Amino acid sequence: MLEKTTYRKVLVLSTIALFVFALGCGGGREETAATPEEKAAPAAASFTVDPATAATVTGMIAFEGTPPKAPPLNMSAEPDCAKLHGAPVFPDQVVVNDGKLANVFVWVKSGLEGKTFAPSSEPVHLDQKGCLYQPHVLGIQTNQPLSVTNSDSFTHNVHPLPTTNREFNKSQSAGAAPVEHAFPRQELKIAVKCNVHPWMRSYINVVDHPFFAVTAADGSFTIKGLPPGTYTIEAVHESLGNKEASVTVGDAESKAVDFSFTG
Amino acid sequence: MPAKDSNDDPVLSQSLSVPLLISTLILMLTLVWSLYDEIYSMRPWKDYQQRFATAYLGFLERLRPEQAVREDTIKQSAAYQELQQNYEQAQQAAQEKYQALTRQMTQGVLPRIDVVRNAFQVLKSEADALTYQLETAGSDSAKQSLQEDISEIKARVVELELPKDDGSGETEHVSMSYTELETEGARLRDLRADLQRQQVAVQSPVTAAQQSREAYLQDQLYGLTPAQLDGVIARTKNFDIGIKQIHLADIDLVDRCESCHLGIREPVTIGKADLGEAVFAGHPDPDLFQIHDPEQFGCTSCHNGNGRATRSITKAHGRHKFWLWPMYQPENVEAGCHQCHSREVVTEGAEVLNAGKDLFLNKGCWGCHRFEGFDRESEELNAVRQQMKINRDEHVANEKERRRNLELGDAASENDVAQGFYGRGEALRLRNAKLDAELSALQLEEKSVSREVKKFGPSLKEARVKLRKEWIPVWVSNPHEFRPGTKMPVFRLNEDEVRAISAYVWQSGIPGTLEQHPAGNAERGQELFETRGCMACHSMGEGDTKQGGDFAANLTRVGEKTSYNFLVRWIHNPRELTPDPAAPADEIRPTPIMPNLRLSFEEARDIASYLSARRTDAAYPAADFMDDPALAQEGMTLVRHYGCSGCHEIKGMENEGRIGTELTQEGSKPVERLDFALFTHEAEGEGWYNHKGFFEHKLKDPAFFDEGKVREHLEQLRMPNFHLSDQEINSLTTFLLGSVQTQFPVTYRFEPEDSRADVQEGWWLVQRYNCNGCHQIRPGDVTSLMNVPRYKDPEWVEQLPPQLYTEGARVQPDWLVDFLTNPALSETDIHRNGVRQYLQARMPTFYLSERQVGKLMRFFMARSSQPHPFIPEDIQPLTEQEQTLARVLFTGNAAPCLKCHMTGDPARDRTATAPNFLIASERLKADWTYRWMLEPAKIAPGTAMPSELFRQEGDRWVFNGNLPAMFNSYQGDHAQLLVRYMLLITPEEVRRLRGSGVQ
Repeated sequence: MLEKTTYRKVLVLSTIALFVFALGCGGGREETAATPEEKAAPAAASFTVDPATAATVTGMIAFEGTPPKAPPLNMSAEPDCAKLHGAPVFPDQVVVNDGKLANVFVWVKSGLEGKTFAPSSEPVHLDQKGCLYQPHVLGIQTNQPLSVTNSDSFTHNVHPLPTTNREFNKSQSAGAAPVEHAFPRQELKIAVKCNVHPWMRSYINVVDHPFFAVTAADGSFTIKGLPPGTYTIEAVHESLGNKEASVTVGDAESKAVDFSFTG
Repeated sequence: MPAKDSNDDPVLSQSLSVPLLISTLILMLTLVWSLYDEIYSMRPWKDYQQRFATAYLGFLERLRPEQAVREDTIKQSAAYQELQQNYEQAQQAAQEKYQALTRQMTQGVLPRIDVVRNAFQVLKSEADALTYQLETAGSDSAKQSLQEDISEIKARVVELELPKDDGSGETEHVSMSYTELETEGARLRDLRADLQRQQVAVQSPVTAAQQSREAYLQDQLYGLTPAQLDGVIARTKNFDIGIKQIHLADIDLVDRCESCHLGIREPVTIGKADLGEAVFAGHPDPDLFQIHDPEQFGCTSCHNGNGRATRSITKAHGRHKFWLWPMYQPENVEAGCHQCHSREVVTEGAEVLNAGKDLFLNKGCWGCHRFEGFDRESEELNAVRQQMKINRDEHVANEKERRRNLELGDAASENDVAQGFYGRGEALRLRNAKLDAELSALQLEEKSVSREVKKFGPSLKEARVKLRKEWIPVWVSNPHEFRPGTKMPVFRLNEDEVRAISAYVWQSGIPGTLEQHPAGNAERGQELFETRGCMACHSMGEGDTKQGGDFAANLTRVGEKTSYNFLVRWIHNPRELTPDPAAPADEIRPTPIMPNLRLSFEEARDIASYLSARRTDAAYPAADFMDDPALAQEGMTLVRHYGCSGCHEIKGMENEGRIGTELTQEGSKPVERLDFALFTHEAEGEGWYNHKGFFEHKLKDPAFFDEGKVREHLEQLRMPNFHLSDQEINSLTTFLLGSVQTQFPVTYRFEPEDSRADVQEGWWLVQRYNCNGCHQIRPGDVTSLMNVPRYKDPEWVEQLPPQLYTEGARVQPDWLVDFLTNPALSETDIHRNGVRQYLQARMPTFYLSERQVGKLMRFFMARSSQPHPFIPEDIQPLTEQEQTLARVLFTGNAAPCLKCHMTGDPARDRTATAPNFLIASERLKADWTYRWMLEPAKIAPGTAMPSELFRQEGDRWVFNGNLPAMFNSYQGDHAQLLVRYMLLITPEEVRRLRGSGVQ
């Protein structure tokens, strides 16, 4: 009997010992190494629209009601400016011709996700003339060059007030070289002001693709070269707010999207 | 019983070899196991280090080619190529001269020195030996003979084959005496030094070109260069496995944290995922190491935890019940800053801690809980009074001692002894004269400091004239219901207590009468409220419609509680208090924090009318019980019990003490002394039986630890509920965790005596008066006004009060003192801003004491590293020609200075949008003005003042626009010219400007 007990004891002991040993071995490492995170995918290549399938969105923006009557701009602080205009100048905030609204920024708000578009190298121009910005509203692609010129015979300063992009404020005397700038981030309605002539105002809309337009004096707009798909089109007005509409365009199709603002 | 068979004897018949073998094996295994355990299990860091070395090497080898590509791109750039060319040209230019010099050195001078030195050494050692003999010789005759031998050596001529020193490589035959050799040696050494100097001079353009090339590369390349990376790679390949520890003998600190956290100080930035394990990541804020070198501070001094432990993460981080100071959790990590930065209310970079201190200050925690440094005004007043007492006592003692000395002198028998006593008496009298001077300075200081003393909450002595009677019990029972987010906390009061306390508050108010005002224009009042700057401190609207700052009360329903006439008085001048005829004449009343916006009565009435209409139609039950004197008597006991006078000025309780526990070192309190009440076991089980757990639960619900306790109502925990957000609780917890009795000697603590102390001191005032509500002081500050929607409008953005990032560099200290004392900068025309009259928001009068004004001035000067005292630089007067030029530039169409800046002409100043030039000479510093004109965006981002008004042309800046012809001959700096013109402008010049019809 002794024999058996001994063997059993030894067996039990050795099992325990081995077990503990195994535990000891196994417990050496407290954390398992996580696999290194995958490297960020390289920036996606620019998307090119096939001209054969490119679609177009056109439209007209109407204005219902009576346009607000703003008092004429007071240019008395700059007599040279006032002299340039024969008649009183009215602010071009709400410009309505025959019930159609000008200076509305229209853009593809969504539907282009996942596609990147190389910025155009063609500069967008903003001119200061007669103490007014021309145009009053403009669209520009991210990283597309903006060129601000001064056609007046006195000094202006170019002072955009973005919230997402970086702000700058540069003096530009008569005949000086254009102020060049590019906005790297998408941002709508960046007000541009001239601190010397506080009534001057322009709005820059920066979008990370080339599908946008500003309504002309007759309230019309055209967005060309869209890849076929379903999009949300947004019309943005500086004071009247935003409107949205959805549109689906097929290969080389042209569709109309109209908006209407009320005063 | 059968006979015992001898074979049955187990000793003989059975072998134990198998069990023995197994036991031996087990023993062996155990030995192996224990060795393994000793070497590996108990040293988990070895495994970490192996993993780190492998992963880090892989990471570096991935990084190196990326950096090499970046470096190559930079090297290909035009700018680098130009620098490279400069370097090569410089090298070429220097080469010939340098080589000639080197040739002369190596082929001429150095070999010649060798030959001359050797020859001279032979003679000199011979002569030296004889000289020694001469010194030790016994007889005169021997000396005589040795003297002759020495003379013979010095006269000896040696023949030498000397290399020529012009580097031609030729030699010449020369014979030289001892003295000639010595002279030649000296000449050659001078020549060698001269050649070395020439070499350096010739090489210096090359070195400079090389340095600027390398500097450009370093500047353009982010991170280490490939060559530097190679160094790190080589080091990692030879990674030395072993304990990495920091030992600081003076504070007995041993930190082995870096045995596992191996990437913490690596020169390469290692993100959490870069090496696969977060433990190897670099320190998230490596800039901190610049001022807190780990070799000087260690790790656990800031982070807590057990720096010596290496056996497991739990042990090293001290997260078990046997380690008193567990490592701070990431959300409380800034707690570690406070022990050394305890003097500060704002510590750069510790934003959570700062928020905690701000809450402690501006939620009024110090009303009940003493915390060293927070009730600054009272503490300072006590310190001044203490000093005055010491002075007075010494004065009396000196006088007594003087009398004794004089008496002793009178009675002395000898004259010189009498003179000694008289002398001592005289000295004591002089000492007292000095004490008199100190005392009168202290008296002024006392007067100054006592004007600063404040209570956190509004004075309840005004209750009768200010408040609607029925509103008081509604408010007392639950202030957060009436005004969500208010600083007044919710007390655990029952209905009877509410009635009694309300009755006492009402009856203890000073009975007074207010001047009666006619109603104002509420519409205009709203415009004023929203534009004068009220919203920097006060908010309006609740929930999503809330606008404005949280520093002072939300006024959405103020019309329900405050009387119109009181509002008018308060808005017009918050320092006007209801006089108390029963008060002692020398009573010092705490002053309100609200400053005076210098509004006219009309404006005050308009705003008050607007505010009076901010009300709901809530019904208030009649409260006649509030006039019951017996109830008020009960209320008094309760007001005392709940410590109301900690925050409010209450009649009859002006000198009450605080009812809460002192918290200055609460974080050091042993955890057993924190009363977890019935929650001890639960907390242990859930892992929050520590300081953090206690603070968080207590702050979330101050009554929490009463749960389950059987207590009389008045014995319950008294701390009221502030309804803090989780973020606020975390900030306060961080602050309390850090509030420890530091183990560090004073050399570790940040208690500067220089201008940095001015910065520390100034922040207390900035926080106290909410300067940040209007002004940005640190980069990245967002003021309350900036968040008000109106100021986001392009029309309004320039109506924001000025940024003060570089205020100390901008303005002259004396001017700043005047301005802070009287921001209108006028004794008569007070309803205006002294500097920016075009701003709707008004810089208020804070009624700062002289001391406070001085502190704020020094704060701004110190933040801008301005030397103290300020000595203005001499401005060179303008010549007649310069005066004309400057005037033309200043007033011309090209430079639009006068389009925006005020000139003091009321008609023109109405449309101005920038400060007055007329006060520039007393206000501005010349060097700042110059820098401002060149690049204002660098000083005040977003400013209306445009950049690029000047362009660089050689060494000077010229106006960037069309200039009149008369500037063609002017060679000076145009910006400098304008600075001189502005800072030296005379009233005559101003009249002349106006006379010339300047627009």
